[in-house]
Amino acid sequence: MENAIEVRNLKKKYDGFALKGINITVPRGMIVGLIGENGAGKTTTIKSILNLIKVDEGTISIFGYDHIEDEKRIKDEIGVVLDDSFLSDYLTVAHVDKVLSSLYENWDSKLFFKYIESFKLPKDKMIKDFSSGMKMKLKVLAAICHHHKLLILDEPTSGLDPVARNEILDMFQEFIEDEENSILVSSHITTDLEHIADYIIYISDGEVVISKTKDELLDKYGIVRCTKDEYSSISKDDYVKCKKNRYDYELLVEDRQVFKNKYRNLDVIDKPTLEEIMLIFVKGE
Amino acid sequence: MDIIISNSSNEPIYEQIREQIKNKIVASELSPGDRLPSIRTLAKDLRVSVITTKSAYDDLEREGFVETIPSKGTYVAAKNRELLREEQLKKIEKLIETAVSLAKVSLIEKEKLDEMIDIFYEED
Amino acid sequence: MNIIKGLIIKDLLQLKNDKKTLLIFIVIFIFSSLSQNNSGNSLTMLSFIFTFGFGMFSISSFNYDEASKADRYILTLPVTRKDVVLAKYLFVVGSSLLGSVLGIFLVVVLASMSLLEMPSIGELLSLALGGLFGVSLILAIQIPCIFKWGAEKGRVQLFIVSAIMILLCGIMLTASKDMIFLNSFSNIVDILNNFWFLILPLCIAGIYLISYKVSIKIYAQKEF
Repeated sequence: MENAIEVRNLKKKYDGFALKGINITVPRGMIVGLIGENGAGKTTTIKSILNLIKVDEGTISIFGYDHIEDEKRIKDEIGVVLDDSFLSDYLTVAHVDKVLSSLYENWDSKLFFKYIESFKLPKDKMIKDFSSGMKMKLKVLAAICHHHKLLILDEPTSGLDPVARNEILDMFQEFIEDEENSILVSSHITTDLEHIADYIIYISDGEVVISKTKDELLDKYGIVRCTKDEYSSISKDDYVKCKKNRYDYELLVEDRQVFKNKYRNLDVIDKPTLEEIMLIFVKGE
Repeated sequence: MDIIISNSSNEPIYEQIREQIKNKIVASELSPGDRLPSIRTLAKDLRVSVITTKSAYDDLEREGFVETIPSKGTYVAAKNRELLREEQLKKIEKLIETAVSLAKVSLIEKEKLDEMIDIFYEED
Repeated sequence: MNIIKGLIIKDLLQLKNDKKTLLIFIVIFIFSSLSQNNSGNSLTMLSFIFTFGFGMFSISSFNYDEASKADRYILTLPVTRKDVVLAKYLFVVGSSLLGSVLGIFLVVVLASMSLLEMPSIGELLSLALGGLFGVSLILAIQIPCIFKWGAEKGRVQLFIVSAIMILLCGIMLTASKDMIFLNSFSNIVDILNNFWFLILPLCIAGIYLISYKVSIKIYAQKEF
């Protein structure tokens, strides 16, 4: 069994929005980052994987098991963090431990409280009075402390300050130190994924538009900035998307080295960031 | 082991890691038989992805600098010194070639070049 | 079984937030029933109010869940949708039962302190079962409505559904009255009079069973 998650041709139609045949693979031992604008379909995809919504078409398997038929067995094997939902805001950390220890077969109270202490989370305070950073740390802990092999996280770093975000990214990398473990994480804060993700899947308007290793994206892709005249000399086959700005044109190219060799007169070719790639995709043509 | 990574550099991160480990082997900071951190630990400590450190290690292994023993770890290879020396010599050759051709174009005599090399050697 | 236990523990721990309100509620009703001076009415009230009060308190666990958007998260745990529904029913039914028992217990205690007239065992049982029946009817309608429309948004729908149910019962009752008249009416009344302590619990169980089945259907269809 090589893949932790396989999503094939996932379709789901809503009024005014649809997932149009999403394919996602999360290989074992890897961190896969799901990026995209708000409303692009990241959360809908994750909800489909978790069988929180019914899909219209397509197959989803986790560790080779069907996501509906073997739902219970799968869910004992995964930890989930959802952006806006948790067990209850009206419990304390001690309560959460009590409840989760009877819900998860392999719940590790010792590990849980070890982390709780190292993050200095209060044990007897109502969760609703936590700061958003504290709450997110608790949610991630709740997802990690039952010795499973897969983490699925929807926007785990949104609304957090850089320090809290870093601590959470540390937890992910600690989790992935075991090569059996895998993570699927969606985020619109692309800098987080720029560091730790092995694969990047970019969803735009219900479709996967890019699915590559992050190194390939950042080390090969390039952003060319040129004038209108220079732009007209470039063949349409040599770039993916072009964004026309007031003073310059920005082109996303698949291989900046190849491009450089072909168009020697153009010298502004930058290494892209995920954010720039997204912007050119959304605003470009 | 110090490894410094620049995210803004145009040089891919796996190359930065590969080169720095190589340099440490050259400088005898790492000697044959030394164990390198696992790709996953290194990825965690450097805050980079696993694929990135894996690419770096794969390159190092292909070039014969390190050896991976399955389920044990990655070690600095024994024969790397010789290999490295050769590689470094090639690099130096290239640099001298550039220097000499530049000297020829600018009509600078060989003695002057020798003198410069002497000065650089004595500097440290 | 552990899973159901876990879900119920969660609901119980949440309700701890309300323990002050619950205590005040108990004290107020004890005093108000005492102040009504031994009328048989106050006894009915005390037992019914306790059953009703506990039932409603347990229903507020739906509001807590809604405020935390808990359903979505809970369904990512190793639980089935059926588990979630079953746990809620056990919790709510258990709470109203507890309320009923507590109500009766209080009546007995108050009576033994000669603050109330001691009722007979038959009276006590009919009080308890009658109250439980009424409360169960309300809860059995309320729970599926909450599963369908939510605890906050479902109020209007709950009102409409309840009105329709009452109307239907009325129609059926008037219709059945004629029927009963035709077929030995007195016979059935006799049976009711003699076996109410068996028939009422059966009715309660039946009502909940139907309600549970409906809730399971509703919850299985839901998207989160």
